Amino acid sequence: MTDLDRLFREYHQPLVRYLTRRLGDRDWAEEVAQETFLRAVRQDAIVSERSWLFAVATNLIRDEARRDARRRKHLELLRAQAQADEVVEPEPLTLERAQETAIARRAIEMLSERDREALLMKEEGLDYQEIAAALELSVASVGTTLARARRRLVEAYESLQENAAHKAGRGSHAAS
Amino acid sequence: MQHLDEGTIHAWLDGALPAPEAAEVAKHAAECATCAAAVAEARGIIAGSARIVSALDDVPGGVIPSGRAPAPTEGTSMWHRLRLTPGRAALAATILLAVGTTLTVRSSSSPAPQANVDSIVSVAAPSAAASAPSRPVESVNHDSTKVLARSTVNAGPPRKANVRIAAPQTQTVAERREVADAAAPRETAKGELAKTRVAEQQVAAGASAMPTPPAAPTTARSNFAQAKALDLRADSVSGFEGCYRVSADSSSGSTEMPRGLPASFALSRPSAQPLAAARRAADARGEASVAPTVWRQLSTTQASVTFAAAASDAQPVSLVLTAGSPVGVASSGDRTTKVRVARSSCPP
Repeated sequence: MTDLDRLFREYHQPLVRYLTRRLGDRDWAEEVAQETFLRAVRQDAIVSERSWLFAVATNLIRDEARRDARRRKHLELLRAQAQADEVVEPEPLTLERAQETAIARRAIEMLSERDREALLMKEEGLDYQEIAAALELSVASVGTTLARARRRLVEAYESLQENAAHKAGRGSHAAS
Repeated sequence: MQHLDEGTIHAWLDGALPAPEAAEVAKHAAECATCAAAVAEARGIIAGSARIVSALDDVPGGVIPSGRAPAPTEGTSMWHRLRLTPGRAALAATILLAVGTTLTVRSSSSPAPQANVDSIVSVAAPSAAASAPSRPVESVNHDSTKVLARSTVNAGPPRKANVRIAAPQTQTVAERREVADAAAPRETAKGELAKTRVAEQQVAAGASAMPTPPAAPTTARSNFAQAKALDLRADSVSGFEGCYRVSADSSSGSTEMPRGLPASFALSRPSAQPLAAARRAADARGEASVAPTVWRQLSTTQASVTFAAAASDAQPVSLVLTAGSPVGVASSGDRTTKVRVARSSCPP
Protein backbone atom coordinates (compact mmCIF):
# COMPACT_ATOMS: atom_id res chain seq x y z
CA MET A 1 0.00 0.00 0.00
CA THR A 2 1.43 3.33 -1.02
CA ASP A 3 1.54 6.37 1.20
CA LEU A 4 -1.20 7.95 -0.81
CA ASP A 5 -3.45 4.95 -0.33
CA ARG A 6 -2.83 4.89 3.38
CA LEU A 7 -3.33 8.60 3.81
CA PHE A 8 -6.49 8.48 1.77
CA ARG A 9 -7.97 5.57 3.70
CA GLU A 10 -7.10 7.09 7.04
CA TYR A 11 -7.88 10.74 6.60
CA HIS A 12 -10.14 11.18 3.61
CA GLN A 13 -13.40 10.84 5.45
CA PRO A 14 -12.67 13.21 8.34
CA LEU A 15 -11.00 15.68 6.04
CA VAL A 16 -13.92 15.79 3.64
CA ARG A 17 -16.34 16.11 6.54
CA TYR A 18 -14.32 18.98 7.97
CA LEU A 19 -14.17 20.67 4.61
CA THR A 20 -17.85 20.10 3.94
CA ARG A 21 -18.75 21.63 7.25
CA ARG A 22 -16.41 24.45 6.55
CA LEU A 23 -17.52 25.13 2.99
CA GLY A 24 -21.06 23.85 2.90
CA ASP A 25 -20.35 22.26 -0.43
CA ARG A 26 -19.57 18.58 -0.70
CA ASP A 27 -18.14 18.76 -4.21
CA TRP A 28 -15.94 21.62 -3.31
CA ALA A 29 -14.81 19.75 -0.21
CA GLU A 30 -13.95 16.71 -2.29
CA GLU A 31 -11.88 18.78 -4.66
CA VAL A 32 -9.99 20.44 -1.86
CA ALA A 33 -9.40 17.10 -0.19
CA GLN A 34 -8.01 15.62 -3.37
CA GLU A 35 -5.72 18.55 -3.85
CA THR A 36 -4.62 18.16 -0.26
CA PHE A 37 -3.73 14.51 -0.73
CA LEU A 38 -1.86 15.25 -3.93
CA ARG A 39 0.22 17.79 -2.11
CA ALA A 40 0.83 15.31 0.65
CA VAL A 41 2.31 12.90 -1.86
CA ARG A 42 4.66 15.57 -3.15
CA GLN A 43 5.71 16.46 0.37
CA ASP A 44 9.00 14.87 1.40
CA ALA A 45 8.44 14.56 5.10
CA ILE A 46 5.38 15.18 7.20
CA VAL A 47 5.77 15.23 10.94
CA SER A 48 2.12 15.24 11.92
CA GLU A 49 0.06 13.88 9.11
CA ARG A 50 -3.36 14.86 10.36
CA SER A 51 -2.46 18.39 11.33
CA TRP A 52 -0.51 18.81 8.12
CA LEU A 53 -3.45 17.64 6.01
CA PHE A 54 -5.93 19.84 7.82
CA ALA A 55 -3.57 22.80 7.65
CA VAL A 56 -3.03 22.40 3.93
CA ALA A 57 -6.73 21.94 3.37
CA THR A 58 -7.44 25.04 5.40
CA ASN A 59 -4.85 27.02 3.48
CA LEU A 60 -6.36 25.85 0.23
CA ILE A 61 -9.70 27.09 1.40
CA ARG A 62 -8.11 30.39 2.13
CA ASP A 63 -6.97 30.70 -1.40
CA GLU A 64 -8.94 33.76 -2.30
CA ALA A 65 -8.83 33.31 -6.01
CA ARG A 66 -10.03 29.78 -5.77
CA ARG A 67 -12.67 30.67 -3.28
CA ASP A 68 -13.94 33.55 -5.34
CA ALA A 69 -14.26 31.39 -8.39
CA ARG A 70 -15.99 28.77 -6.41
CA ARG A 71 -18.23 31.27 -4.76
CA ARG A 72 -19.36 32.56 -8.08
CA LYS A 73 -20.22 29.05 -9.09
CA HIS A 74 -21.78 28.42 -5.74
CA LEU A 75 -23.89 31.53 -6.10
CA GLU A 76 -25.06 30.30 -9.46
CA LEU A 77 -26.03 27.01 -7.90
CA LEU A 78 -27.83 28.77 -5.09
CA ARG A 79 -29.69 30.89 -7.57
CA ALA A 80 -30.69 27.81 -9.53
CA GLN A 81 -31.65 26.14 -6.30
CA ALA A 82 -33.77 29.08 -5.29
CA GLN A 83 -35.54 28.96 -8.60
CA ALA A 84 -36.13 25.24 -8.26
CA ASP A 85 -37.25 25.68 -4.68
CA GLU A 86 -40.15 27.70 -5.93
CA VAL A 87 -41.74 24.59 -7.36
CA VAL A 88 -40.48 22.03 -4.86
CA GLU A 89 -42.48 21.76 -1.68
CA PRO A 90 -40.59 19.72 0.87
CA GLU A 91 -42.38 17.88 3.61
CA PRO A 92 -42.88 19.77 6.88
CA LEU A 93 -40.41 17.65 8.78
CA THR A 94 -37.87 17.97 6.03
CA LEU A 95 -38.38 21.68 5.93
CA GLU A 96 -37.79 21.87 9.66
CA ARG A 97 -34.56 19.97 9.34
CA ALA A 98 -33.51 22.08 6.44
CA GLN A 99 -34.18 25.20 8.42
CA GLU A 100 -32.12 23.89 11.30
CA THR A 101 -29.25 23.18 8.97
CA ALA A 102 -29.52 26.58 7.41
CA ILE A 103 -29.39 28.23 10.82
CA ALA A 104 -26.39 26.16 11.78
CA ARG A 105 -24.71 27.16 8.56
CA ARG A 106 -25.39 30.80 9.16
CA ALA A 107 -24.20 30.51 12.75
CA ILE A 108 -20.93 28.90 11.80
CA GLU A 109 -20.41 31.52 9.13
CA MET A 110 -20.74 34.21 11.77
CA LEU A 111 -17.61 33.00 13.50
CA SER A 112 -14.21 34.34 12.68
CA GLU A 113 -12.26 32.21 10.30
CA ARG A 114 -9.82 31.06 12.87
CA ASP A 115 -12.45 30.22 15.42
CA ARG A 116 -14.43 28.35 12.83
CA GLU A 117 -11.49 26.31 11.64
CA ALA A 118 -10.34 25.50 15.12
CA LEU A 119 -13.80 24.40 16.13
CA LEU A 120 -14.32 22.28 13.06
CA MET A 121 -10.92 20.67 13.44
CA LYS A 122 -11.68 19.87 17.06
CA GLU A 123 -14.97 18.33 16.05
CA GLU A 124 -13.03 16.18 13.63
CA GLY A 125 -10.96 14.83 16.48
CA LEU A 126 -7.82 16.84 16.11
CA ASP A 127 -6.16 17.42 19.44
CA TYR A 128 -4.87 20.74 20.68
CA GLN A 129 -1.37 20.17 19.36
CA GLU A 130 -2.65 19.33 15.92
CA ILE A 131 -4.98 22.29 15.84
CA ALA A 132 -2.19 24.53 16.97
CA ALA A 133 0.08 23.16 14.30
CA ALA A 134 -2.51 23.46 11.58
CA LEU A 135 -3.54 26.99 12.49
CA GLU A 136 -0.13 28.11 13.60
CA LEU A 137 -1.32 28.86 17.10
CA SER A 138 0.18 28.19 20.48
CA VAL A 139 -1.21 25.16 22.18
CA ALA A 140 -2.19 27.23 25.16
CA SER A 141 -4.37 29.48 23.02
CA VAL A 142 -6.30 26.65 21.45
CA GLY A 143 -8.47 26.20 24.53
CA THR A 144 -9.33 29.86 24.55
CA THR A 145 -10.00 29.84 20.84
CA LEU A 146 -12.26 26.85 21.14
CA ALA A 147 -14.07 28.23 24.14
CA ARG A 148 -14.75 31.46 22.31
CA ALA A 149 -15.77 29.71 19.14
CA ARG A 150 -18.15 27.40 20.92
CA ARG A 151 -19.79 30.12 22.94
CA ARG A 152 -20.22 32.38 19.95
CA LEU A 153 -21.55 29.55 17.89
CA VAL A 154 -24.15 28.62 20.45
CA GLU A 155 -25.12 32.22 21.01
CA ALA A 156 -25.40 32.88 17.29
CA TYR A 157 -27.42 29.76 16.77
CA GLU A 158 -29.84 30.59 19.57
CA SER A 159 -30.19 34.11 18.30
CA LEU A 160 -30.94 32.94 14.80
CA GLN A 161 -33.42 30.42 16.08
CA GLU A 162 -35.22 33.06 18.09
CA ASN A 163 -35.40 35.27 15.05
CA ALA A 164 -36.73 32.45 12.95
CA ALA A 165 -39.33 31.55 15.58
CA HIS A 166 -40.29 35.18 15.87
CA LYS A 167 -40.73 35.45 12.12
CA ALA A 168 -42.71 32.24 12.02
CA GLY A 169 -44.95 33.43 14.85
CA ARG A 170 -45.48 36.75 13.18
CA GLY A 171 -46.27 35.03 9.92
CA SER A 172 -48.81 32.71 11.50
CA HIS A 173 -50.33 35.60 13.45
CA ALA A 174 -50.67 37.62 10.27
CA ALA A 175 -52.17 34.65 8.52
CA SER A 176 -54.74 34.17 11.27
CA MET B 1 -6.12 29.73 43.24
CA GLN B 2 -7.83 32.12 40.90
CA HIS B 3 -11.03 31.22 39.18
CA LEU B 4 -10.66 29.05 36.17
CA ASP B 5 -10.68 30.85 32.86
CA GLU B 6 -12.94 29.62 30.13
CA GLY B 7 -10.08 28.40 27.93
CA THR B 8 -8.69 26.27 30.69
CA ILE B 9 -12.08 24.82 31.50
CA HIS B 10 -12.59 23.84 27.84
CA ALA B 11 -9.08 22.43 27.62
CA TRP B 12 -9.71 20.46 30.80
CA LEU B 13 -13.03 19.17 29.51
CA ASP B 14 -11.38 18.33 26.16
CA GLY B 15 -8.73 16.36 27.97
CA ALA B 16 -6.02 18.57 26.57
CA LEU B 17 -4.40 19.51 29.88
CA PRO B 18 -1.44 17.65 31.27
CA ALA B 19 -2.31 15.35 34.14
CA PRO B 20 -1.00 17.54 37.00
CA GLU B 21 -2.75 20.62 35.69
CA ALA B 22 -5.94 18.66 35.07
CA ALA B 23 -5.87 17.41 38.66
CA GLU B 24 -5.58 20.93 40.00
CA VAL B 25 -8.48 22.12 37.84
CA ALA B 26 -10.61 19.23 38.98
CA LYS B 27 -9.86 19.98 42.60
CA HIS B 28 -10.65 23.66 42.19
CA ALA B 29 -13.89 23.00 40.34
CA ALA B 30 -14.96 20.77 43.16
CA GLU B 31 -14.27 23.43 45.76
CA CYS B 32 -15.34 26.59 43.91
CA ALA B 33 -19.04 26.99 43.22
CA THR B 34 -18.48 29.73 40.66
CA CYS B 35 -16.00 27.63 38.72
CA ALA B 36 -18.25 24.59 39.09
CA ALA B 37 -21.04 26.58 37.50
CA ALA B 38 -18.67 27.72 34.77
CA VAL B 39 -17.66 24.13 34.17
CA ALA B 40 -21.29 23.09 33.95
CA GLU B 41 -21.99 25.90 31.52
CA ALA B 42 -18.94 24.92 29.45
CA ARG B 43 -20.19 21.36 29.27
CA GLY B 44 -23.46 22.59 27.88
CA ILE B 45 -21.75 24.86 25.38
CA ILE B 46 -19.51 22.06 24.16
CA ALA B 47 -22.47 19.75 23.74
CA GLY B 48 -24.48 22.47 22.04
CA SER B 49 -21.74 23.46 19.65
CA ALA B 50 -21.12 19.84 18.77
CA ARG B 51 -24.80 19.43 17.96
CA ILE B 52 -24.79 22.57 15.81
CA VAL B 53 -21.73 21.42 13.92
CA SER B 54 -23.26 18.01 13.34
CA ALA B 55 -26.31 19.77 11.92
CA LEU B 56 -24.07 20.90 9.11
CA ASP B 57 -23.83 17.29 8.01
CA ASP B 58 -27.58 16.94 7.85
CA VAL B 59 -28.64 16.86 4.25
CA PRO B 60 -32.32 16.12 4.51
CA GLY B 61 -33.97 14.36 1.65
CA GLY B 62 -36.51 16.13 -0.45
CA VAL B 63 -35.18 19.61 -0.11
CA ILE B 64 -32.62 19.20 -2.80
CA PRO B 65 -34.26 20.52 -5.91
CA SER B 66 -34.71 18.03 -8.65
CA GLY B 67 -32.42 20.08 -10.80
CA ARG B 68 -29.61 19.47 -8.35
CA ALA B 69 -30.30 15.87 -7.62
CA PRO B 70 -27.31 13.71 -8.47
CA ALA B 71 -27.42 12.41 -11.98
CA PRO B 72 -31.03 13.35 -12.52
CA THR B 73 -31.11 11.69 -15.90
CA GLU B 74 -30.16 8.34 -14.51
CA GLY B 75 -32.91 6.20 -13.17
CA THR B 76 -35.62 8.55 -14.31
CA SER B 77 -35.47 8.02 -18.01
CA MET B 78 -37.51 5.18 -19.48
CA TRP B 79 -34.53 4.24 -21.58
CA HIS B 80 -32.36 3.94 -18.50
CA ARG B 81 -34.98 1.94 -16.65
CA LEU B 82 -35.34 -0.40 -19.58
CA ARG B 83 -31.58 -0.44 -20.07
CA LEU B 84 -32.31 0.05 -23.69
CA THR B 85 -29.19 0.70 -25.66
CA PRO B 86 -29.23 1.64 -29.32
CA GLY B 87 -28.09 -1.87 -30.20
CA ARG B 88 -30.86 -3.48 -28.21
CA ALA B 89 -33.37 -1.07 -29.66
CA ALA B 90 -32.25 -1.98 -33.16
CA LEU B 91 -32.54 -5.67 -32.36
CA ALA B 92 -36.02 -5.21 -30.94
CA ALA B 93 -37.08 -3.23 -33.98
CA THR B 94 -35.77 -5.96 -36.25
CA ILE B 95 -37.70 -8.63 -34.39
CA LEU B 96 -40.87 -6.55 -34.46
CA LEU B 97 -40.43 -5.95 -38.16
CA ALA B 98 -39.93 -9.65 -38.82
CA VAL B 99 -42.99 -10.62 -36.78
CA GLY B 100 -45.05 -7.93 -38.42
CA THR B 101 -43.95 -9.03 -41.87
CA THR B 102 -44.77 -12.64 -41.11
CA LEU B 103 -48.19 -11.77 -39.81
CA THR B 104 -48.84 -9.54 -42.77
CA VAL B 105 -47.83 -12.23 -45.21
CA ARG B 106 -49.97 -14.76 -43.44
CA SER B 107 -53.00 -12.52 -43.24
CA SER B 108 -52.72 -11.30 -46.80
CA SER B 109 -52.10 -14.74 -48.20
CA SER B 110 -54.90 -16.38 -46.26
CA PRO B 111 -57.81 -14.02 -45.84
CA ALA B 112 -60.10 -16.98 -45.57
CA PRO B 113 -58.66 -19.52 -43.17
CA GLN B 114 -61.16 -21.92 -44.57
CA ALA B 115 -59.25 -21.94 -47.80
CA ASN B 116 -56.11 -23.07 -46.08
CA VAL B 117 -57.50 -25.71 -43.87
CA ASP B 118 -60.31 -26.85 -46.00
CA SER B 119 -59.89 -30.27 -47.26
CA ILE B 120 -61.82 -32.13 -49.79
CA VAL B 121 -63.28 -35.32 -48.71
CA SER B 122 -65.39 -37.72 -50.57
CA VAL B 123 -68.48 -38.82 -48.88
CA ALA B 124 -70.40 -41.80 -49.93
CA ALA B 125 -73.49 -43.49 -48.86
CA PRO B 126 -72.83 -46.91 -47.40
CA SER B 127 -74.13 -48.61 -50.48
CA ALA B 128 -72.04 -46.54 -52.79
CA ALA B 129 -69.00 -47.02 -50.70
CA ALA B 130 -69.31 -50.73 -50.96
CA SER B 131 -69.63 -50.73 -54.70
CA ALA B 132 -67.29 -47.92 -55.60
CA PRO B 133 -64.32 -48.98 -57.65
CA SER B 134 -60.84 -48.21 -56.59
CA ARG B 135 -59.33 -45.22 -58.28
CA PRO B 136 -55.97 -43.66 -57.96
CA VAL B 137 -55.61 -40.15 -56.74
CA GLU B 138 -55.33 -37.60 -59.41
CA SER B 139 -52.76 -34.97 -58.98
CA VAL B 140 -53.88 -31.87 -60.76
CA ASN B 141 -50.83 -29.76 -60.43
CA HIS B 142 -47.32 -30.76 -59.47
CA ASP B 143 -46.16 -27.26 -58.68
CA SER B 144 -46.92 -27.76 -55.08
CA THR B 145 -44.83 -26.51 -52.28
CA LYS B 146 -42.96 -28.92 -50.16
CA VAL B 147 -45.51 -28.69 -47.43
CA LEU B 148 -48.38 -29.34 -49.72
CA ALA B 149 -46.54 -32.25 -51.23
CA ARG B 150 -46.00 -33.64 -47.78
CA SER B 151 -49.68 -33.33 -47.21
CA THR B 152 -50.21 -35.60 -50.13
CA VAL B 153 -47.60 -38.04 -48.94
CA ASN B 154 -49.06 -38.14 -45.49
CA ALA B 155 -52.38 -38.91 -46.93
CA GLY B 156 -51.13 -42.33 -47.71
CA PRO B 157 -51.83 -44.49 -50.71
CA PRO B 158 -54.65 -43.84 -53.10
CA ARG B 159 -57.95 -44.32 -51.41
CA LYS B 160 -60.91 -46.23 -52.56
CA ALA B 161 -64.56 -45.50 -52.66
CA ASN B 162 -65.54 -42.99 -50.04
CA VAL B 163 -62.12 -42.38 -48.59
CA ARG B 164 -60.11 -40.20 -50.77
CA ILE B 165 -57.49 -37.58 -50.32
CA ALA B 166 -57.26 -35.03 -53.02
CA ALA B 167 -53.84 -33.82 -54.01
CA PRO B 168 -53.06 -30.18 -53.47
CA GLN B 169 -52.77 -28.03 -56.48
CA THR B 170 -52.29 -24.46 -57.35
CA GLN B 171 -54.84 -23.69 -59.96
CA THR B 172 -56.36 -20.36 -60.43
CA VAL B 173 -60.10 -19.96 -60.39
CA ALA B 174 -60.27 -20.02 -64.14
CA GLU B 175 -58.13 -23.12 -64.32
CA ARG B 176 -60.27 -24.86 -61.79
CA ARG B 177 -63.36 -23.98 -63.71
CA GLU B 178 -61.84 -25.37 -66.85
CA VAL B 179 -60.95 -28.55 -65.12
CA ALA B 180 -64.40 -28.76 -63.64
CA ASP B 181 -66.02 -28.11 -66.93
CA ALA B 182 -63.92 -30.68 -68.64
CA ALA B 183 -64.64 -33.25 -66.00
CA ALA B 184 -68.30 -32.46 -65.68
CA PRO B 185 -70.63 -35.11 -67.03
CA ARG B 186 -71.81 -34.33 -70.48
CA GLU B 187 -75.34 -35.05 -69.54
CA THR B 188 -75.32 -32.45 -66.86
CA ALA B 189 -78.16 -30.06 -67.35
CA LYS B 190 -77.29 -26.53 -68.24
CA GLY B 191 -78.97 -25.09 -65.16
CA GLU B 192 -77.26 -27.54 -62.87
CA LEU B 193 -73.95 -26.69 -64.39
CA ALA B 194 -74.63 -23.05 -63.72
CA LYS B 195 -75.39 -23.84 -60.11
CA THR B 196 -72.26 -25.85 -59.87
CA ARG B 197 -70.28 -22.93 -61.19
CA VAL B 198 -71.82 -20.62 -58.63
CA ALA B 199 -70.92 -23.05 -55.89
CA GLU B 200 -67.42 -23.37 -57.26
CA GLN B 201 -67.00 -19.65 -57.44
CA GLN B 202 -68.11 -19.31 -53.85
CA VAL B 203 -65.53 -21.80 -52.73
CA ALA B 204 -62.94 -20.52 -55.11
CA ALA B 205 -63.46 -17.01 -53.83
CA GLY B 206 -61.87 -18.17 -50.64
CA ALA B 207 -59.47 -20.49 -52.36
CA SER B 208 -58.27 -17.87 -54.76
CA ALA B 209 -56.95 -15.80 -51.93
CA MET B 210 -55.22 -18.69 -50.27
CA PRO B 211 -51.46 -18.88 -50.35
CA THR B 212 -51.24 -20.53 -53.67
CA PRO B 213 -47.77 -21.87 -54.26
CA PRO B 214 -46.98 -19.68 -57.19
CA ALA B 215 -45.82 -21.06 -60.48
CA ALA B 216 -43.65 -18.01 -60.70
CA PRO B 217 -42.75 -17.42 -57.09
CA THR B 218 -42.01 -13.91 -56.07
CA THR B 219 -39.23 -14.64 -53.67
CA ALA B 220 -37.93 -17.65 -51.94
CA ARG B 221 -38.58 -16.00 -48.64
CA SER B 222 -42.23 -15.44 -49.30
CA ASN B 223 -42.54 -19.05 -50.41
CA PHE B 224 -40.98 -20.16 -47.22
CA ALA B 225 -43.35 -18.03 -45.20
CA GLN B 226 -46.33 -19.39 -47.03
CA ALA B 227 -45.18 -22.94 -46.74
CA LYS B 228 -44.49 -22.48 -43.07
CA ALA B 229 -47.91 -20.99 -42.51
CA LEU B 230 -49.57 -23.88 -44.26
CA ASP B 231 -47.46 -26.33 -42.37
CA LEU B 232 -48.56 -24.93 -39.06
CA ARG B 233 -52.18 -24.88 -40.08
CA ALA B 234 -52.02 -28.42 -41.38
CA ASP B 235 -50.56 -29.66 -38.14
CA SER B 236 -53.12 -27.81 -36.10
CA VAL B 237 -56.07 -29.63 -37.60
CA SER B 238 -54.60 -33.07 -37.87
CA GLY B 239 -56.53 -34.20 -34.81
CA PHE B 240 -59.76 -34.38 -36.76
CA GLU B 241 -58.37 -36.49 -39.53
CA GLY B 242 -59.95 -39.84 -39.95
CA CYS B 243 -63.14 -41.60 -40.85
CA TYR B 244 -66.47 -41.03 -39.21
CA ARG B 245 -69.79 -42.79 -39.06
CA VAL B 246 -72.94 -40.78 -38.60
CA SER B 247 -76.24 -42.02 -37.27
CA ALA B 248 -79.42 -40.53 -35.95
CA ASP B 249 -79.39 -39.48 -32.35
CA SER B 250 -82.17 -41.47 -30.77
CA SER B 251 -81.74 -39.72 -27.46
CA SER B 252 -83.00 -36.52 -29.03
CA GLY B 253 -86.12 -38.26 -30.23
CA SER B 254 -85.16 -38.23 -33.87
CA THR B 255 -84.70 -41.37 -35.82
CA GLU B 256 -84.05 -39.77 -39.16
CA MET B 257 -80.83 -38.43 -40.49
CA PRO B 258 -80.91 -34.91 -41.86
CA ARG B 259 -81.24 -34.94 -45.58
CA GLY B 260 -77.94 -34.64 -47.34
CA LEU B 261 -75.92 -35.86 -44.38
CA PRO B 262 -73.95 -38.96 -45.37
CA ALA B 263 -73.78 -42.05 -43.22
CA SER B 264 -70.03 -41.96 -43.27
CA PHE B 265 -67.34 -39.63 -44.35
CA ALA B 266 -63.67 -39.06 -43.99
CA LEU B 267 -61.65 -36.02 -43.21
CA SER B 268 -58.32 -35.83 -44.83
CA ARG B 269 -55.36 -33.81 -43.91
CA PRO B 270 -56.11 -30.27 -44.96
CA SER B 271 -55.09 -29.41 -48.41
CA ALA B 272 -55.81 -26.80 -50.97
CA GLN B 273 -57.87 -29.12 -53.08
CA PRO B 274 -60.74 -27.16 -54.49
CA LEU B 275 -64.22 -28.38 -54.57
CA ALA B 276 -64.32 -28.64 -58.33
CA ALA B 277 -61.37 -30.96 -58.49
CA ALA B 278 -62.90 -33.29 -55.97
CA ARG B 279 -66.19 -33.19 -57.76
CA ARG B 280 -64.46 -33.83 -61.04
CA ALA B 281 -62.55 -36.74 -59.58
CA ALA B 282 -65.65 -38.16 -58.03
CA ASP B 283 -67.63 -37.78 -61.19
CA ALA B 284 -64.86 -39.32 -63.19
CA ARG B 285 -65.19 -42.40 -61.04
CA GLY B 286 -68.91 -42.43 -61.49
CA GLU B 287 -69.58 -41.86 -57.84
CA ALA B 288 -72.90 -40.15 -58.26
CA SER B 289 -73.73 -40.40 -54.61
CA VAL B 290 -70.43 -39.00 -53.46
CA ALA B 291 -70.77 -35.48 -52.22
CA PRO B 292 -67.51 -33.62 -52.01
CA THR B 293 -67.34 -31.27 -49.11
CA VAL B 294 -65.05 -29.01 -47.19
CA TRP B 295 -64.18 -28.88 -43.58
CA ARG B 296 -62.27 -26.61 -41.34
CA GLN B 297 -61.30 -26.42 -37.76
CA LEU B 298 -63.26 -23.91 -35.73
CA SER B 299 -61.13 -24.24 -32.65
CA THR B 300 -58.84 -26.72 -31.04
CA THR B 301 -61.85 -28.81 -30.06
CA GLN B 302 -64.32 -28.18 -32.83
CA ALA B 303 -64.44 -28.65 -36.57
CA SER B 304 -67.11 -27.83 -39.08
CA VAL B 305 -67.78 -30.11 -42.03
CA THR B 306 -69.90 -28.84 -44.89
CA PHE B 307 -71.48 -31.31 -47.27
CA ALA B 308 -72.39 -29.82 -50.57
CA ALA B 309 -75.86 -30.39 -51.83
CA ALA B 310 -75.94 -33.64 -53.75
CA ALA B 311 -79.02 -32.71 -55.68
CA SER B 312 -80.31 -29.54 -57.19
CA ASP B 313 -83.23 -29.40 -54.84
CA ALA B 314 -81.18 -30.14 -51.76
CA GLN B 315 -79.38 -27.80 -49.41
CA PRO B 316 -75.85 -28.09 -48.13
CA VAL B 317 -75.51 -29.59 -44.69
CA SER B 318 -72.98 -28.55 -42.13
CA LEU B 319 -71.92 -30.74 -39.28
CA VAL B 320 -70.09 -29.46 -36.24
CA LEU B 321 -67.85 -32.01 -34.58
CA THR B 322 -66.64 -31.65 -31.04
CA ALA B 323 -63.57 -33.49 -29.97
CA GLY B 324 -64.42 -36.13 -27.43
CA SER B 325 -68.14 -35.78 -27.90
CA PRO B 326 -70.25 -38.46 -29.60
CA VAL B 327 -72.82 -35.90 -30.60
CA GLY B 328 -72.56 -33.65 -33.60
CA VAL B 329 -74.84 -30.85 -34.66
CA ALA B 330 -76.05 -30.94 -38.21
CA SER B 331 -77.54 -27.82 -39.78
CA SER B 332 -79.35 -27.56 -43.05
CA GLY B 333 -81.16 -24.39 -43.87
CA ASP B 334 -82.80 -23.32 -40.66
CA ARG B 335 -82.99 -26.83 -39.25
CA THR B 336 -80.60 -28.08 -36.63
CA THR B 337 -80.41 -31.71 -35.69
CA LYS B 338 -78.27 -33.63 -33.28
CA VAL B 339 -76.65 -36.73 -34.69
CA ARG B 340 -74.41 -39.40 -33.34
CA VAL B 341 -70.91 -39.21 -34.70
CA ALA B 342 -68.37 -41.91 -34.11
CA ARG B 343 -64.96 -42.51 -35.47
CA SER B 344 -64.62 -45.56 -37.61
CA SER B 345 -61.77 -47.37 -39.16
CA CYS B 346 -60.92 -46.14 -42.58
CA PRO B 347 -61.13 -48.67 -45.37
CA PRO B 348 -57.79 -49.70 -46.73
